[in-house]
Amino acid sequence: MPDALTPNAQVDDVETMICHWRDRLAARGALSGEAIEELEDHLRAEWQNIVSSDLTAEERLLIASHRLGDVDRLAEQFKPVCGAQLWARRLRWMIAGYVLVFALNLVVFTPLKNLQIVGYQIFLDLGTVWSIALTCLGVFLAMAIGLAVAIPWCASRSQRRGGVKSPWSVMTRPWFLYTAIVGMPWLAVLIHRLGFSISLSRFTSAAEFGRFALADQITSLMIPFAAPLMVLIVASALQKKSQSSNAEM
Amino acid sequence: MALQRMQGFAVASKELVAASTKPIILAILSRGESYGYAIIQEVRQRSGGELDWTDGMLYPVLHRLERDGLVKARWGKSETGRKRKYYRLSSQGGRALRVEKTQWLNVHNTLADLWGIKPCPTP
Repeated sequence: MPDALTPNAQVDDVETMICHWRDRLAARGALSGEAIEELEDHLRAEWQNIVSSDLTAEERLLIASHRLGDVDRLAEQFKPVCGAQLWARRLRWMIAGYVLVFALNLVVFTPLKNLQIVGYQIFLDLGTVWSIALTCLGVFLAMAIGLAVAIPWCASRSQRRGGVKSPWSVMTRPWFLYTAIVGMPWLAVLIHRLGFSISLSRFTSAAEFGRFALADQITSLMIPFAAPLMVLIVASALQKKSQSSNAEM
Repeated sequence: MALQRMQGFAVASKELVAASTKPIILAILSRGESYGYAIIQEVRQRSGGELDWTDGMLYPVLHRLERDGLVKARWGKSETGRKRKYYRLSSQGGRALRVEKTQWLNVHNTLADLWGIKPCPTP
């Protein structure tokens, strides 16, 4: 940024501060790239407008960002407007997550297909479907809870480090979150299938294997759709609740 | 004036600020193309600081007006060469502004009549 009033060293610090400010705003997930760009323009205009010889460039930037409003409040104000865009972006990352783990599934399990018994009798056993579904959901929920604990921890860790960007900060980014929401149920199915492949030897008859194989097919199609849907319904219900509690404008 | 501010007499309430945001933005843009920071500065200057807009509040409103087709936006360059988003009034926005003007002047003139102040001519 051309700013003839400040020495280069200070300008570098200010650029780092603006970078951090942008990162924190992006991590809230409510604003599009363009909206962040527009707010950055505002921040810089405000910063350049504060004329005081007593203040350093950093202090002027702090005042400017304070005037613009704190990051959480900014993100909150943008949420109702960017709702549709927000969901479009979430959906994009979710599809990416689905495709990613689907590809992983193919890579891991294509060689294992050779283990399948030819000519088994297929029939539907709802009990087996439920037991596999519950196992997968259990694994998924365990991972989701793990992530829910890990993300705030990573956020606080990346803040504590001050100027240096922590590699953990990637976990606080929206793209990671939404890829993970979709990827995790698939991973759960994958883990279940691994266990299933290992325990192949315990099937005594082709019929028993057939029952298990069909149940596995059904759940592996269902879970990756059902689990993220569940999370999103709960998340949007919580979001609506928090929006109505501080409704303004 | 400082005393008035402390007692909350002169500064517009949150509800009034929220309600007046749309006509004020449309009126400013009817005078020509502008951008977020300049709009806020103009509001501060014209209201003598009585309309205290939080800076961040303006942009969601501008984006909503853009989505509703009342303003049109384009990306241009600022004087320092950085990207800057400029807004201007659309023809639909012009019509919305005329409706707003009538409504606000009606409220104003009712109060002016009650308080014995000279009313403003309605468009």
